[in-house]
Amino acid sequence: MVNRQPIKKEIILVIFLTLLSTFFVYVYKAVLSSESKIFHQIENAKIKEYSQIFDNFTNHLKKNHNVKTREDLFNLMLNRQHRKVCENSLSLLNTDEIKYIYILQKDSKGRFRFLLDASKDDKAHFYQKFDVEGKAYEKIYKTKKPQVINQTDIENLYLTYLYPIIINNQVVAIASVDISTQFKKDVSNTMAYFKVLFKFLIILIFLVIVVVTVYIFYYYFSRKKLFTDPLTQIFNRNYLEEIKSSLNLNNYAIAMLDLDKFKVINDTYGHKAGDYVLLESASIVKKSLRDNDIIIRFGGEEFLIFLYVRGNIQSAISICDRIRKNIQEHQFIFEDQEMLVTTSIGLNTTPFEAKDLNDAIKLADAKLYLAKRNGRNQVVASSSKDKDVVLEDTKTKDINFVKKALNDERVVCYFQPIYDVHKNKIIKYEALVRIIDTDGSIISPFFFLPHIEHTNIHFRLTKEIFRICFEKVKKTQQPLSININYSDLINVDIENIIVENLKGNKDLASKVTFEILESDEIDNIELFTRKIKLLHSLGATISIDDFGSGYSNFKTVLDMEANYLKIDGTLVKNIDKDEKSYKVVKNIIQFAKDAQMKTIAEFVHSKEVYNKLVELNVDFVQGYYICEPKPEMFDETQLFK
Amino acid sequence: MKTLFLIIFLTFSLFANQNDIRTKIITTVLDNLSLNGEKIIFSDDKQLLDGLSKKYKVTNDCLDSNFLILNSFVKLNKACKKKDIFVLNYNLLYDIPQSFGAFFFKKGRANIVLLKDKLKAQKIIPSKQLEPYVEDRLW
Repeated sequence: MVNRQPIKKEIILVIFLTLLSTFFVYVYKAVLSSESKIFHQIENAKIKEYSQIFDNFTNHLKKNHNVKTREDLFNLMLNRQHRKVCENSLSLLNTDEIKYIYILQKDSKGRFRFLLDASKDDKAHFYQKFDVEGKAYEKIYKTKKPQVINQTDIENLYLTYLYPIIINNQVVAIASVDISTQFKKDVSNTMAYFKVLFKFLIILIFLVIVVVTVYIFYYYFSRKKLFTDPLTQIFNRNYLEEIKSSLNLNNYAIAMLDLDKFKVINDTYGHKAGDYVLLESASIVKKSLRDNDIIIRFGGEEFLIFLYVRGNIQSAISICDRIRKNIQEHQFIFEDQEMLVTTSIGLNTTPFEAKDLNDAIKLADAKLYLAKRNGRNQVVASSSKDKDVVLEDTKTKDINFVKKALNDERVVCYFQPIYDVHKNKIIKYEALVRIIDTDGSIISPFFFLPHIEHTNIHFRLTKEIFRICFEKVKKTQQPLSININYSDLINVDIENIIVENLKGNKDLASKVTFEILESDEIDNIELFTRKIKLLHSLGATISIDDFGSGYSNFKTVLDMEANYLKIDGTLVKNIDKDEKSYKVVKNIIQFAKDAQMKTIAEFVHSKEVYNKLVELNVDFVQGYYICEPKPEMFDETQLFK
Repeated sequence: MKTLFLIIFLTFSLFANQNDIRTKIITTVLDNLSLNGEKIIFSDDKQLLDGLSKKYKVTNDCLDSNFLILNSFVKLNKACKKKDIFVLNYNLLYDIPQSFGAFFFKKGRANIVLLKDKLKAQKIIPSKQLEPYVEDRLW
């Protein structure tokens, strides 16, 4: 699974830290460079100052003592008194930074000798030999220019500055200043404040980097926790919220995956088995995906998958079907119990056409609902037609849509005839709920029922349907089938409405058939049986809806003492082509006859299917081949058109 | 002269400790001075004496020696005063009139001074390498 946004963030972070590190190195170098530059500037200023003093000293010798040759200078310095005066004038230079200051003269043998020593310590005798050697001492005579010697080998000396005393264009002596390492210390002390400031800044930057790094690690650690489902270790809905704004829907197809009959697994084998199935399924899905795909645990047993297909619809369908097959073929064994797990997948192949991500997910959800409704264990992908119809419809068909329709009395019933193939007449009608949208269009229940399941609005809707149906029967005196699911049946308010209308009204009750969905998960068989008995006692008839699609055992079906058994449409619709379906339907018809139940086949959409059912001796049929649902009841003349 | 300078400056670079430098240079000076007979050295500087003992015969009694290296002005036995004396301070050349030469640090630089007339009187012959350090008189 690739998390595109965080990778982007990590790259930005790496760039940021690299820049910060570069800045850190730059500041550090700048500190060193600045110190060196400032130091040299101070050094040059000092040297300039010494040059100036020695220049004055030379002029003093020329003007006041009429020195014209090196011999004149020697003779002048030979005089102790003159020497003292000159020493005093030079000693003004003596500071902490100057270690020694003296005048040297080269004798006839090329040896350097002290003419004058104005140093505070280690004073030399007049004309004492001084063993110095170096290129600078030769160069100064040749170039007649000052020389600087950087002292590295002499203790406590940092630098020696040699200044030529030139008279009549001849170097008659060398004025020498030995600068102490104290000078360097003084400059360094001056720089110390800047260095401390820079060091403080560098430490501060370093600390900021450390804090930021720790924060980032903490952020990623907690982020991972926040966005990960603890059971399956895949992303949860928080992650969806996180990536919502940055997700490019042009690159993805959206699949909504739901494990079929998961509640039954939980109820039958326990929650640990349920967790095991979830974990295994998530692992199978992950393995079936590529790195660029994103999987999110959307709800209990619902997974949302973003397939990185970049418009390749066929690829998205193939991946979904691969997931479905992989789950179906996987052996789910928990505590020696093998469980058959299948999955239904709704696929939105063109999410980029939706208004936003929520709408794109809704379309995938609507397709999932279709997959469930069509018998589960299948993939239903959106088509170009859906873009115009389903997409438009799913936009607003949520709980508020139904609530508003109830308030505005826009809930209506359509009626589809149930036809007796032996007597060639309509025996009753099935009431099918519809909502008239604000623009007058008719909205099918599959767009809004999934959104209101197990909500009060669902119960309100059921009550409204009952009100419409009872009124219709009273008005037309035509028998009518009304769908009711298990949760409706055990709801006290709905029970009260049924009892209020049917109790003491045998005529009405005899014309009402309650179609109970066999595929509903019934968690309390005893309560369910009691409610069925109540309906029987009121004089209504019972039909088992969608028989063949659920998990109910034969005993429960027999205990219901139903009058009708409606065969699941997914079995019926392929009866002319699929031998297996044919055999199953045949057996159901036989079972119903043995149990003294009349059989109804729904989804009869063609003449071929109709003929097969007649051949199997089914009692009643229902479907578009006979007649589509209409807003009003009608007679046999309207059939088979 | 340049060779000796090179030795002096190299030893400066190689040895951080001034005592080691001093020992090294004095050893070089001694190597380049020829005396009558073997040099048996006495010094009031014990550290220097230890250093020189690696190459030369040394003694703690000036009477047993024939070459004295003095670091300070000490009251010498009369018999010792007649021996060859090398000092470790320029001013000692004044204080000890019989001293013929000195090694000392002046303004951080190693300096050698050998007095021509004293060398002659004491029949000490410096090698050619030491000639640049031979002075006609004491300044």
